[in-house]
Amino acid sequence: MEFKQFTLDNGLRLIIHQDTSTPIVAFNILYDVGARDENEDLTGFAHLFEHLMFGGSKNIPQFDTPLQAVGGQNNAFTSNDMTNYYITLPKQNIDTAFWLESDRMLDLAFTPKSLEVQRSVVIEEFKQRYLNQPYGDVWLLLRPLAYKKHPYKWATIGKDIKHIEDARMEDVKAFFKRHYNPENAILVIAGDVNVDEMLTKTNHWFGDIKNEDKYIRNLPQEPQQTEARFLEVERDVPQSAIYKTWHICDKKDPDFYAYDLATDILSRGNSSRLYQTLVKEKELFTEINAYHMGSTDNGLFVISGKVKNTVDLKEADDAIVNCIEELKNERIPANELIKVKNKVESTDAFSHISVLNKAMKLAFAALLGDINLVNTENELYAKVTADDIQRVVQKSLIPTNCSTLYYKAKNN
Amino acid sequence: MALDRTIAPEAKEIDNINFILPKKWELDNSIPVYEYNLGSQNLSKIEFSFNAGTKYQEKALIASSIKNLIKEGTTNYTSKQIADAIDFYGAFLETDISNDHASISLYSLNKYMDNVLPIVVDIIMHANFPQDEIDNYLKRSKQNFLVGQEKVSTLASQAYVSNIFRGSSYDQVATVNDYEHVTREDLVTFYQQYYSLENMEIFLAGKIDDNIKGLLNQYLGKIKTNSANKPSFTFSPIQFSASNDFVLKESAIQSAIRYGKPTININHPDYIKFQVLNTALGGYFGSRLMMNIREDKGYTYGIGSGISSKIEAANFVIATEVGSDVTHSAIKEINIEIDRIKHELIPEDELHVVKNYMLGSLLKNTDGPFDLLERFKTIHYNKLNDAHYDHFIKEIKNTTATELKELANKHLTNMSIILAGSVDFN
Repeated sequence: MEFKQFTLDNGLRLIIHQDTSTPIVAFNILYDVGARDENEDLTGFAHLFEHLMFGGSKNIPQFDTPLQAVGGQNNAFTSNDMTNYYITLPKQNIDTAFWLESDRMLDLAFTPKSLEVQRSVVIEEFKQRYLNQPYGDVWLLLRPLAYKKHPYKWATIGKDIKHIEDARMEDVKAFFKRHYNPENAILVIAGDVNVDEMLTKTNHWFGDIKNEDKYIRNLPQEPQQTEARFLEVERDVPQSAIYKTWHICDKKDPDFYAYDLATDILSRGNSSRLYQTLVKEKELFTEINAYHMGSTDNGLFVISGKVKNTVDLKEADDAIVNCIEELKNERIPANELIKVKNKVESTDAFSHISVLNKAMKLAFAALLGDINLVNTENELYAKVTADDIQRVVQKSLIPTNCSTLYYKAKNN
Repeated sequence: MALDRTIAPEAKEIDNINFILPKKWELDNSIPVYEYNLGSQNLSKIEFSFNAGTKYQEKALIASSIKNLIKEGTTNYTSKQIADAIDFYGAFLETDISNDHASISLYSLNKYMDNVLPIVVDIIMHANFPQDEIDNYLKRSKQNFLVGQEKVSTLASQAYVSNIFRGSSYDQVATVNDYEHVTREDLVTFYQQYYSLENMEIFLAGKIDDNIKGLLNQYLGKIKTNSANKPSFTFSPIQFSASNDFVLKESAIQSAIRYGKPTININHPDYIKFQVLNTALGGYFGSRLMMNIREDKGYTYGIGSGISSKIEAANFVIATEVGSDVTHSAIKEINIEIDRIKHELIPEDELHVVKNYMLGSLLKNTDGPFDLLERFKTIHYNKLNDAHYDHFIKEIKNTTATELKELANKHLTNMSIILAGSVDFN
């Protein structure tokens, strides 16, 4: 994937990818701020902020209407690491995207009404996604079990919904000044565009935006876990579940790719080990997954599964551990390694179809500090050997590095 | 020149959409193929589509069980062999089901088509539904079903389908007991009748090369077909009369609301303009329902409305989850918005936004071979004119506020409200 990158005088990074096959342009702005940057007593702010970004800016009372009026669509998401805003619109109307995004980077129109309403909306979101949903509170339990110091210990929705209920206008404004600055943002434009023209337009619309407060990230590091952690809760769900997490490296570490392929061996596709052994053969689980959080700072390797109703949780847990021991101790067949690498290759090819996907890939890679990752990642996966995978799982998937949650169904 | 940020950049109209029709051809035995050969990546999607949706089943869960079990074993390969082969070549095998159609889609890099396509053909021709796979699947599926029953959104959606499509072939809501009554014989009978070559069409999208076409003819084009084997079908009609239903979910902190009725489908002359009305009411982020119930009142994380057009009928629905304490207020506000759109003309500037939003969405949804294929299937399945999307653009542009008010009075009446949660209507 080809791209051009620039940095404006005010520090805004601009990445342009040309794709002449589409009438649609993707306009993606990533702000380098996530839930990890929140004050522990004011959690959920990055996400609340994402909502407020649609409540009107300095010169434009309403964000969505003018965009929809030119045939555009937009949305945003917040993670523990980043807040990402994206627009897709007909290429002839790209000026509207510049106009809207630059104005809300310049300054928001903070109104008490907007704060009041978005506070309620976020509280309803909290209920809909975390409370009124079977297994909805799992990560509210698991994060603080696995992380004791690092701000990954709270979810993006916040540690306590009270923080959102009590959010004050001055805190919200301070958050904006601290994080929503050009030097903290990455703009990616992907589509049938002219590079020089985009650079000129970016300077025109964003060039005069000043940086306000400087934010220097200095997060508390997570000390090494030294003993197994365990939590058991009982909930009104029809089926018990087990969640296990282990601390692993961050996404920039070369070992990341070995961990990623380890999760694929364990659970990607119906031919994967956990599915074949624990769901099909032993019938202990009705579903089971292995994945990692893909986080910018040191992340988690996760195995989670819903346990069949007649099965004892300890027995199911032991069966997971057995699969891990097998991965650690028995040589990974050559074909199995080729298999997971082939899947990486085809997934990558399919992900290059949409311009929005490509724009996001570029933005995420830039955030990690190496845009070239969009092209070199395949090689990094190709280089991983069976020994690498065994080395990383032997190092990390050990009991003293593990947090286990038994999420028990009340009536079983 | 100083930048005046208060002035919106000039908007340029979307006048036409370059909707391309697929190339149509046939395998040697006349199985129809529709092909979009467009795309920069060396990959393709091959979709085998059957008239085998849930409306054809005489017993609950049969069609959906086949969707899940069809790749769990054939007379030539075990479930594991199929999974191993598909995964080994990095391919994706997806099966899908709707009320009307069932499909088996293969996504693969072109260089591995020789390896994976024959397996998919085997699934189409020789699936054999091993009993142990059926048992394992039904147990898992039943547990998933029970998890779903804990969600107010699922409870409301099930009650909605029964209320709206009462008595018809679209009235397909399973109960937990239905899991006890699915037999291998049911599955085999349905599979033999509906997953036949006579009942199949092939859709191709991506970088379609001669190798793919050759493989299809080699594996499927040589088999004798007999058009007399095409199953017949009569749709049992809908017996709808508006009524409100409540599903109790004790201690739920949100209520799910589904509000709607059966309505006109895509073949009706009013349909496109009714879509404009729906968009204004609840079909996009700036819609009236969103602006009022989320952005002004903060009762919900989201609310929307939609028209789901099927082959035999269609349904209109307003759907949301709201805080239990504001359930009655939310229903009241929905009613206010329905009344308002029936009694007041939509202002021109609002209508302008709605129209352009719809045109922009169509532009986005016709971008690339995979999207084009989905749009074409709508034309094809509903036997619409090839120029449907040109007509769609013209109709949207010509829609007037007066027409929308008339349509609201014609179509947004006599609706059912379904409520699931801890708060009843009173």
